[in-house]
Amino acid sequence: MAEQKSILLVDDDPSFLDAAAIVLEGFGYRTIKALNPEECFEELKKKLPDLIILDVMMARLDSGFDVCRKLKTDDRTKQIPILMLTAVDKKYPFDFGSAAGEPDWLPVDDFLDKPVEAMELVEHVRKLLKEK
Amino acid sequence: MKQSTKLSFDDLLTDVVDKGLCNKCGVCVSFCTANQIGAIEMCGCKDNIPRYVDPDKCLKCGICYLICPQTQELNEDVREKFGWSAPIGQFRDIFSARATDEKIRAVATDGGMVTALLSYMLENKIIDGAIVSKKTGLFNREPEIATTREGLIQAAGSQFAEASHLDEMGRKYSTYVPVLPAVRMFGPKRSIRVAVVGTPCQIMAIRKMQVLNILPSDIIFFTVGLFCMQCFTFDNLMEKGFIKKHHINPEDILKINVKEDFRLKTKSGVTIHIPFEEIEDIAGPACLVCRDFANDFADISVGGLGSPEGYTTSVVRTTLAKRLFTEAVNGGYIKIADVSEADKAEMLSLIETFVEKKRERAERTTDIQRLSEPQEEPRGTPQKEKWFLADADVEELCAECERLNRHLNWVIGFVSHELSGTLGTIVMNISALADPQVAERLDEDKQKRMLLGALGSLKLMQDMVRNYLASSKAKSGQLDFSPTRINLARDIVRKVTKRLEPSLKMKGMKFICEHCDELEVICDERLIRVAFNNLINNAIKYGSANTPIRSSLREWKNGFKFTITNEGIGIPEDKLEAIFDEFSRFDPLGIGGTGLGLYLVRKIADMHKGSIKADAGYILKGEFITYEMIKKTPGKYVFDRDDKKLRKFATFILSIPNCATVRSGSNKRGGN
Repeated sequence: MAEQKSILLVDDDPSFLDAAAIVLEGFGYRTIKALNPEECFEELKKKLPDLIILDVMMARLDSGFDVCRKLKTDDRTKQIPILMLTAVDKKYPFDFGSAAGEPDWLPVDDFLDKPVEAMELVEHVRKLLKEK
Repeated sequence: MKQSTKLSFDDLLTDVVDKGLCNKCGVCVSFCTANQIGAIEMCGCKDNIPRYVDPDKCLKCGICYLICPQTQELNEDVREKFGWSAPIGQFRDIFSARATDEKIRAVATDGGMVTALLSYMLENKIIDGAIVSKKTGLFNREPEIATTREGLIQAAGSQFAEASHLDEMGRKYSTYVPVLPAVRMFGPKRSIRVAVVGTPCQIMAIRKMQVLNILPSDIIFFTVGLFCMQCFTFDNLMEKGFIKKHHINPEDILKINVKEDFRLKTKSGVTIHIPFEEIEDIAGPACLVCRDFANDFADISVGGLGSPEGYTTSVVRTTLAKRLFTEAVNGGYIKIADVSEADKAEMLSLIETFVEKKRERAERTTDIQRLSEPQEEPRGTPQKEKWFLADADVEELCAECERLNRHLNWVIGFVSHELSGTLGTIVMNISALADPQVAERLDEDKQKRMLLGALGSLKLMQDMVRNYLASSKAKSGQLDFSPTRINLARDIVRKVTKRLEPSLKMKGMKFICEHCDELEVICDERLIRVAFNNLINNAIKYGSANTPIRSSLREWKNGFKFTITNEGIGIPEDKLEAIFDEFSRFDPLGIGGTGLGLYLVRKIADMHKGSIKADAGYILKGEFITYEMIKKTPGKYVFDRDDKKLRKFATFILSIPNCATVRSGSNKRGGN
């Protein structure tokens, strides 16, 4: 039996976390929830997940970006794929395709605009975990 | 501040006296006389306003203008000197106190605390005299210097003793006594120390003189400030038909007192209660624009409001007052009532309610005055010049427009973020249930959870939209206010908690409510429901899972008080007031919301002439310890504030007085 893959969900809305966790658990994933960047880093100290789903706006407009940059510059976590959820449209002034070192560097592996439908989320997760 | 060199008593006549705003405190005359200028005097006529006695003697120094409590000059300087902060100014403690001497209590309006404190100061030679008001006729009172306890007792209280004839009242009775000109009675002796008992405008005049360091304020050592909604004159009570309307026989009046309402005690032992709203038109123009109820700049402020019968509410403000009050208590002159911290908070809340009432009345009156003032237009000014703006004005307007635009963008961003976040949760839940690929993987229990999640978010969104609309209407003054008779427990509490049941269930919380089933009030049902909904919803949102929410709904001051407490993130001490601001939120969990919930509760409380207050602290061994309690007895509670396991609580108290129609019987316990 294949090992159950784990997903760390980081979002400042507990209702969204609950909903997304129920959906992903239905597809056999184990979920861990974090309401803010602090809780996210606490969870990462305990165990590394296979994937991180991160909301772009938490306490601050760009706190999701800060978390991203920290994760991608840390040797321990830089291999973990990140799926970023945004509640803003693509006109947001960040270049998702920029490279490391550039001021707007945003090292996410994939992103989805909120609101996200359940199956759409599952499909992006499967793609990032190379399950399809 | 105006340029004092350009001012004279003429300006005071124009800006204050001629507009009917003079409160007859006599500070202008007091200064002019004490400094032996002798240009003005109190006219001594029925109105007793200041007038020129010899215009040639006027030095045009402008000081009479600066120290007049009605001109607003020097107000900022006084505020700064006394570290004033809203709503009632600086204070060190609040007590219910009374004199221990029965003779004092027998003549006192409330508990005789002021007479007892002044007796202590006189008998221990801390002061040489106290300027008080003394009965000189059956219904006449004049300023008097008391130098003994007996002198103080003679002057104490607003007692009307013997039977009298209407004419004997001389139509001179007034709750206001011009004590300041009495300072001149001390003549050239400058090394003496006196205490003054006065209304807020009188104390403000003294403080203004002290800011300028001018005679005769140098001899005023201590000030006792009376709580003051407005002053009454017997003339006004008669002229406005007040006495007739309330079927009062003037000869039967024994005592006038101002507590939660205006009270007339008759010789036959009946007390007639009259709400302040009914006596507004009796107040003079000076009182109607005054904003100071709690006598914010006195050393100690006193009144009957908030204390049990026979006690004086005493707001101890300065270090000097604290020392003298403590000495008078230790010396056996004063007895303090045994009141809990919660009672003190209630006293303060009541005082704050009256502060707000007086402030609102002043704002209302000032607006009316401004509107009724003729707009002056300079003669011969061409029409187009009226629209000409100087460069500096244009820059200022542009800066203001930019600020407003930034604020508007911020508000749009805030609202969009909150709405789209909630929408995201709804879409995730509903799409999972609607898509067979997902739904077939969820058991019945999980499907139910997702439905409840969607429903909770929809209700949250509905609340948000309602709050935004209500806030917008409140700002533009379009929020309807239609009071009707409602039963609070049946029409509000039960309906709101039923609506919020899914959220309570999701968090495993229990709502415990002690309520008066019979309590019926006259309130706007729709607005009160929004207020209760926001308070209960907040308690759920920011409470920890599986903890109880405790609330109580009680009859209070002929109205009601609703208290709700949760255990969760608490509220930091420095946010207790700010959380009521528009778009302000303490939300470390990032739960979201409109940022308007508590702002609206305050607006709604204001519309009902009530108040909303937050309190918070820590739960130590099951005991709820407020920040205030920790501050009062710092050594008593030793704990680590950074301990992550430390339990916190937050309480909100919504109080609306004078709205009950049916009081009620017993409190019942309910919940779900």
